[in-house]
Amino acid sequence: MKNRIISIKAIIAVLLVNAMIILSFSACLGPADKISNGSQPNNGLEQNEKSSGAETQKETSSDTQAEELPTKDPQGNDIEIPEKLNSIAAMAPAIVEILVDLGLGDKIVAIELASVGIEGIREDAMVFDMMAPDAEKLISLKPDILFASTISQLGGSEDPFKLLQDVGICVAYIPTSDTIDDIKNDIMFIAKATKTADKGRMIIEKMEKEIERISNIAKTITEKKKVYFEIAAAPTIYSFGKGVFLNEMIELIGAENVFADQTSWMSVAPEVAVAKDPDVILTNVNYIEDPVAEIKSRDGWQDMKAIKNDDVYYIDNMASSLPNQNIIKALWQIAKAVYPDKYGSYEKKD
Amino acid sequence: MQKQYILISMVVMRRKIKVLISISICIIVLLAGIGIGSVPISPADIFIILWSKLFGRAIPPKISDITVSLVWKLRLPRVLLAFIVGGALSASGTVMQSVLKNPLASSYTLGVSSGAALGAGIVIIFGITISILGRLTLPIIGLTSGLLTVFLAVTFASKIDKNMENNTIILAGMVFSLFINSILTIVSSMAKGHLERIVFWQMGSFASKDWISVIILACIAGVGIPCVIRFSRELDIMTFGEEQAQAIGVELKKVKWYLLALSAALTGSAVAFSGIIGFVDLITPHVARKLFGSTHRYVVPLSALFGGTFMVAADLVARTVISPSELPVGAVTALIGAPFFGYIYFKRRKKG
Amino acid sequence: MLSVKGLFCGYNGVDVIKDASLDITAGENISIIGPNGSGKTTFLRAIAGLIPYKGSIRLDDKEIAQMKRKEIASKIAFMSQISSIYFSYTVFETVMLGRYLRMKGGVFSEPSKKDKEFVLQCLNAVGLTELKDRQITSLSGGQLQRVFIARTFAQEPEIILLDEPTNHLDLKHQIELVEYLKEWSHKDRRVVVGVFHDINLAMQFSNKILLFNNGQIAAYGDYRTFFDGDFLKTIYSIDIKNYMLNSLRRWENYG
Repeated sequence: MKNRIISIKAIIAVLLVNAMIILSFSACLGPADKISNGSQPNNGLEQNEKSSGAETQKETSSDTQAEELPTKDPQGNDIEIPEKLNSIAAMAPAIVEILVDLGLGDKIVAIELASVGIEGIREDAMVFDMMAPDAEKLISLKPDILFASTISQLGGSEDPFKLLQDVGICVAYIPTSDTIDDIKNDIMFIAKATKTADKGRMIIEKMEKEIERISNIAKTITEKKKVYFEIAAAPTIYSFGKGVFLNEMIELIGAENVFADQTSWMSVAPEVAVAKDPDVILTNVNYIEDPVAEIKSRDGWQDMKAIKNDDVYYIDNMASSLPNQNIIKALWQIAKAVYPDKYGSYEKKD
Repeated sequence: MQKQYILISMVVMRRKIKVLISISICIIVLLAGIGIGSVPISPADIFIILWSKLFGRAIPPKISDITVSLVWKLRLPRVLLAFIVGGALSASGTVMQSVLKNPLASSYTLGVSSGAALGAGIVIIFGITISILGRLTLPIIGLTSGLLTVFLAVTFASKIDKNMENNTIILAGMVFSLFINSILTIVSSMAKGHLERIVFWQMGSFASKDWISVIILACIAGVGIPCVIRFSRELDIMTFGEEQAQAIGVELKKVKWYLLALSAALTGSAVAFSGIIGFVDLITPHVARKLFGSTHRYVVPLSALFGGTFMVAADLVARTVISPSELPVGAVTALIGAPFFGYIYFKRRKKG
Repeated sequence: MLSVKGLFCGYNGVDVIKDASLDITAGENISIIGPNGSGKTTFLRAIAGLIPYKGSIRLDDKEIAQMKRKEIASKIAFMSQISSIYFSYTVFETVMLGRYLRMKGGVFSEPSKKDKEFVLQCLNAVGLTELKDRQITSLSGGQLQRVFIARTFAQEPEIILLDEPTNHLDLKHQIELVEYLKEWSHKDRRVVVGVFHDINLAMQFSNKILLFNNGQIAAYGDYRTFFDGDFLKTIYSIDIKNYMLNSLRRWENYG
C-alpha cells in the first residue's frame, strides 16, 4: 500500500513540475518568436526585465498583450494587422512622428506632403498627397500596413485608400484626437500594431511625467490669466473653444481660454477678440512670415493689454497642432509664454 | 391759380416730412450699428467718444480704452464703410434701372463685379503687392479691372450697335461677365490653396476695414453720387424713351456714357473694397420710388440713404447672429432682399 | 425757314425716303398724309435730326446734321407715335420735363414761376388742367396723348412736328386740338407739321398738304390744286372720294 500512495504523490509532483516547465517554456517562446522574426529591437529590453522577479509577472502579461495585435483601428473599423511589418506607409505627420519615436523611422516607405522634413525618416520615402493619394503608386510600394488620418476621408472620395484594402493591404484609420487621453490611445494603438508596446508605454509615461510637473505648478496659480490662441491669421481668423486638446493644454497650465464657452474650431470676428481683451495672445500660424507682428499691426488692436505689454507669442506649429507626444513641447512653450515667473522664460524655438 | 400753388406746396411739405423721417431712421440705425455687438455701447458713450475724438478732447476715464478702440477703430469705420457702400450701390442701381429701363437691372449688369473679382483673385493668388499702394493694392487693382471690364463691354456694344441700344448693352455686359467669370474659375481651380480666401472675398464683408478705405470710398462716392444727381432731369426724361429724350434736347449718347461710367465707378469701388454684395441696389430704388414718386431728384439721393441704412442693418445682423463667427453680408442681403424683391415686383405686375 | 433738298434716309442702310425736296416758310402749317409705310414718320425723324440722312435739311440756313442736339431741340419739338412710360410721374411733372432746355437753375432749384405758369397754360390748351396732379399711369390713351402734346408746347419751339397726334383722341378732342394747333401756330410765325391718318382732319388743319407715297413726295401744296378722285385712288388704292361722298350723303339724310 505505501508504495502506491508514494507513486501517486510522485506522479502529481512530476506533473506539477512538468506543468511549470512547460509554462515557463511557452513564456520564453513568446519573445523567442519575435527574435526569429528579427524585427523587434526591444527584445533585449524585455529579456532583461524578465529576469527581475516582480516584473516577471508584469512582463508575462505584457508579453501576452504584445502578442495580441489590435483587431480594430481607432475609428472602429475591423482590421487584420500582419505579423511582420517591414514597410509602413504613414499618411499623416503626427503618425510619422510617433513611428519615428517608436524607432520605426527607417521602416517608413511612404509619407505625405506635410511630413517632408521630419527628422528620422528615410531619404527615399515616397511623398503623397494625403487628400488625393495616388493609390496605385502606393500599392506598388507594397507596404505591410498603412496608417492614415481620418482627415483623408474628407477629400474627394470617402475612402481614398480603398484600393489598398481591396488588394489586401491593411489600412488603419486614426481619427484626429481631441483630448490628451485620446492622443495616448493613438500612440498605444500604433505601438501595439507595430509590436513596440513597451516603447509606446515609455513615451506615454514621459508625457505623463511632464504633465504632472506642469500640473503641480499650475496648482499654485491663484489668479488665472486669460489666453486667446489663434490658429489662423487675418482675414479669416480662427480660434477654438472646448473639446480640443489645445484647450485642454491651456487649462493644464493654469490659464483660461477666452473662448472656453465655444466648442471646437470657429472663425472669430476681430472685434470679438478685441472685446475679450485677453492677458496673453498666442498664435501657431506659420504660413506667414511674422504672425506676431501681423497681430500687433491690426487696426484697433493696439489698445489691448496683451499688445500694449507685448505679450504676443508664437507657439511651435507642429508641436501644437499634431496630436502626438510632441504636444509636451508646445505645452511648455505655452506655459512659459503665459506664466514666465512660474515656468521659466519663453524661448521661441525655431 | 393760387389754390393750385397751395396744393403743390402741400405735396412738397409731405415729401419734406418723409425725408426727415427717413434721415431719423438712418441715424438710429447707424447708432445701433455702432452700439450693438459683442460689447454693447450706449449712444451716450458713442457721442462722448465721437465728440472727444473730433475736437481733440480727453476721454473721461469711465470709458475704457478698449471701448474707445472698439468704437473709433473697429465699429465706426465698419459702419461708415457699410453705409457708403450701400449708398454707392443704390445710386448706381437707380441709374442702371433708369438708363436701361429695366426693373431687374442692377449695378452689376455691365460686368463690373466679374472684372473686380478677377482682379482681386489675381492679387490674392499671386500675392501681388505694389509698394506705393501697400494694403490698398487689392482694392485698387479690383477697381481698375472692374472699370476696364465695363469699358470693354460698353465699347463693344457701341461698335456693334451705333445707337447703343439698351438690349445690346445688357447683352454685352452679360457676355463679358460670363467670360471673365470663366477665367476666374480656371485660375482659382489651379490655385486651390487660395480658394478659401477668394471665395471669402467674393462673399462680401465689412470686417477688418480701416479708415483709409472709408476715406477713399467716401471721396469716390462723395463725387460720384452728386454727379449722378446732377443728371436727375436727364434721367427723368430718358425714361420716356430715347428718341423722345433726344427730341426734348438731351444729348443721349453723351449722357448715357457719363451715367454708365459713373455707375461703373461707384459699383466698382464698392466691390473693390467690400466684395460682391447684392440686392441692395435692386431694392432700394423701388422703395424710394414708392415713397417719393419717380422724380430722380429725390429718388437718387433717397435710394442712396435707404441703401446705406439697409446695408448697416444687414451688417449688424451678419456680425451678431452667430457670434463670434460672422455671416457674409452678401448672404444676409440676399436672404432679406430676394423675397422682398419678389414681393415688390410681383405686386407691380398685378397692378399693371 | 426749313428747306429740304434731295433727302434720302432710312434704316439699316435701306432708304425709305427717296429724293424728297420741299420748302416750308415760317408761319405755315402743313398736314402730311399718305398710305402706311410711305415714309411720313421717317421724314419727320430726319428733320428732327434723330436719324442720319443724305442730302440737305437746312433750318434757318443751318444744316441739321451739323447742329448740336440742344440747338435742334430748342427750335424743333417732335412728338412720336409711340409713347413709352416706364415710371409714373404726375401730369404736371411730365409736361414740366418739356421745359428742359428753357429752365434756368441747377438740379435742385424748383422750377420758376414763369415755368410753372407756362406749363399750366399748356395743360389748359389740351384740356387737362383738372388732371394735373394725376399719375400718368392712370390716364386713358387719349389723355396721355394730350399730355405729350402739352409737353411739346412746353418746349417753346419754332417748329412742332407731330406724328399722328390725333390717334387716340375722341372726336371732340381731335377737333379741339386741331383748332388749338392752328391758333398756336399763328403766334410768332410758328410752324406746325402734323401727320394725319384722317384726310378730313388734315384738310381741317391746313390747306397745305404734303402727300407721301412710296418714300417720295407725290404732291405738295394747296390741296385744292391737286385733290382729285382718280389721283387719290392711285395713291391709296381705294376710291376715297366715293367713300367720303357716301358718308356725306348719310349725314345729310339722317344727321
